Amino acid sequence: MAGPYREDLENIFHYVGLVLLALGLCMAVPMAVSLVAGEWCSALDLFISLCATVGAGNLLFFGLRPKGRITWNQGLVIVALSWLAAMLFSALPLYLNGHYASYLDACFESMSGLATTGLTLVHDLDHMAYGMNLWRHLIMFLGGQGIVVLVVSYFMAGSGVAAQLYVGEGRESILPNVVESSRFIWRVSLAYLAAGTLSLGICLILEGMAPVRSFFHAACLFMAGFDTGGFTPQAQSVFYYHSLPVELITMAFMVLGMLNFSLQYEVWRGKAGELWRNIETRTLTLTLLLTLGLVLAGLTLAGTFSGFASDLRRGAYQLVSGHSGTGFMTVYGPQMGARWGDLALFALIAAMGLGGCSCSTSGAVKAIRVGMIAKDVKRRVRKTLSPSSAVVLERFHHIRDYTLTEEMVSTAFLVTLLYLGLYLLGTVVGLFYGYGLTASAFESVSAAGNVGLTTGVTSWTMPTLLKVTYIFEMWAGRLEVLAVLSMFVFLLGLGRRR
Amino acid sequence: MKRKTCLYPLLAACLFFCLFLDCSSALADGLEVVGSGTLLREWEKYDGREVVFRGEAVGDVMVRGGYAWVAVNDDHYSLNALHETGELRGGNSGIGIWLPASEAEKITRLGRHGSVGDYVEVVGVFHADCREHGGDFDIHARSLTVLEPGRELHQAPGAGKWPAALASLAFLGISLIPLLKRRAQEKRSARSLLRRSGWD
Repeated sequence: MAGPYREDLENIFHYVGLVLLALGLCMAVPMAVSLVAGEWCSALDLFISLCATVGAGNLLFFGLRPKGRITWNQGLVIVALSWLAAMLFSALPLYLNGHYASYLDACFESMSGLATTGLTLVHDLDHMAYGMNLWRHLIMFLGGQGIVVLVVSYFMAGSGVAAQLYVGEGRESILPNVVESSRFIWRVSLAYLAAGTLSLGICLILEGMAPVRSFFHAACLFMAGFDTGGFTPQAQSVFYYHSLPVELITMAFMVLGMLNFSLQYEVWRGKAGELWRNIETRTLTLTLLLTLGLVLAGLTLAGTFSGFASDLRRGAYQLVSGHSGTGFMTVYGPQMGARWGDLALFALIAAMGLGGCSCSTSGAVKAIRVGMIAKDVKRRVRKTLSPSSAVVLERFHHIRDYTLTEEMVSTAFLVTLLYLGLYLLGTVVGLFYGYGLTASAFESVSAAGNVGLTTGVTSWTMPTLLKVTYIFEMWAGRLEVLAVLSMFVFLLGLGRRR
Repeated sequence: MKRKTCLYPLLAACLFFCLFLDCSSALADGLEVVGSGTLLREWEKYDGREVVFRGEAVGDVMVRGGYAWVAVNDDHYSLNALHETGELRGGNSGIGIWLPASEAEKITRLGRHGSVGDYVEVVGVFHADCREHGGDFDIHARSLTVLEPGRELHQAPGAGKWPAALASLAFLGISLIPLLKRRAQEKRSARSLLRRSGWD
């Protein structure tokens, strides 16, 4: 990438401004909730943040004029920078509200929300205002669906820059037109939000909660579950509800969130067979079953629970939560770290590292890459066993039929390698600060894979460098590393030009 | 006279004993008051034993049949409300309590935003792996006593918040200048174009 000119910067910050504008307007939703609930302090905090965010967005968007079409490289930098800017501004109300020890902690929380991780540094969540709690979950919904996708679909139709931004956020096109794809994602998500909130709300009422609180909790849990985020309205996570039906419904949200949107589109069109033929669902089923077997074996060996039913209930929930990248918990973090045994924890780390489907809200390596690498291994074994003149091909099905090419495999390997590097980075920093290997690896994979499960390492008292490392891992992990690398190459170019 | 002097300390001792018995009946039974941190660390020691747990009832009372679930937090905020002291001491910690619905009815206020929940004492059996609830980490309580009733918190925005709100509103207004300038420029260009083409 050539070094950036002034026009490059103007193009980039113009679109970053648009993302901020959209983000700021979204703050009106929790502000309205705070006003209705009579939470004046919270409403004021959100008002200040709304004005600041929309103001900054206005200055950038209307103050800078884009020149010409943006390039693919610029698109990647816009996405990476938009996410950083969104982190800084969505942290504003959180910090002002007084539930975070520092602005860095609030940024950690907002990046965790936007990247749908779910690791939290909040203090006294159980007394947080409804509006502010909703904001935590809403940023998770915005991040999960893609804030840039939001901008693409509703503000930039026909602008000619949609495709660059859309791909930069780690999405694949569902429909021929990316704007239509973005709108489809948002329409489906909002339909799911309504259905999910209603079903879980009714369930919570039946489980003994008051109606208003039931639907508030249901909306928050849906946003966090479907977007594989993991924040919860109460500090005890899903454990708070002590309810098998709630666990089953939230598991369904998580599974829905980890499935590819293109796949869901095909199913909505009546092609249910796609579910069984698709390489991603096949890989996902296999890795889920394998890691579940390991978790159950680990729990049995460690004697964590007194019976298989408990092993299955707790083990399966934590596994689906980890594999989907959600981070909902039905056990205490320290309890898991101390009592689950290394085998079960290793299986959870593996599941978190693998992640869900591409073009979903899951993070980490993703099933399609795992599937392609497995296919390539199979192809190479077959090639070794075949005569030297034989041409061995592997095919796979993902919406349509493909023949596995060297380029596909090398890209899958490259991204997998980048994720492994990211996992290693956080593990080394954790080890540097004296945390154990299992705990360091667990927390690092949880952050980089945008999962949110914790064994207790993530805390407001952890070292600043570790917080910054996890923020970086969450950000880079959500954007599949490449957009972030592009941004750094861009910044290096800026330095050279000066 | 001398007999009377001896009587006073005896009466005082009796009174102290009665008060002590009243506010901490569980201790008289030889039960240990434990915190959630201790239960997490030393779960093997307390698993299946009757314990005393004290803290703030928060969130919801979820009644299921003749029983109910309530979350009781024994963290720093259970005694020092964040919105009063402003002291940040980390996340919440507590445990789920499963107790007869009749006992749960004694709770009059729950800890939420804008209110401090009742400070309660529960006596019950701790389970590190509850068979009845699919491996829950909980306490099955036989009794609940409200030690200190909860209260409403009156919150007013901090002194600096109103000026900050005005400043941010002003910033929002200023940020619209480029938009207004652009609109004016577009209008001027349109007018001159019309003039040149003889439409005006």
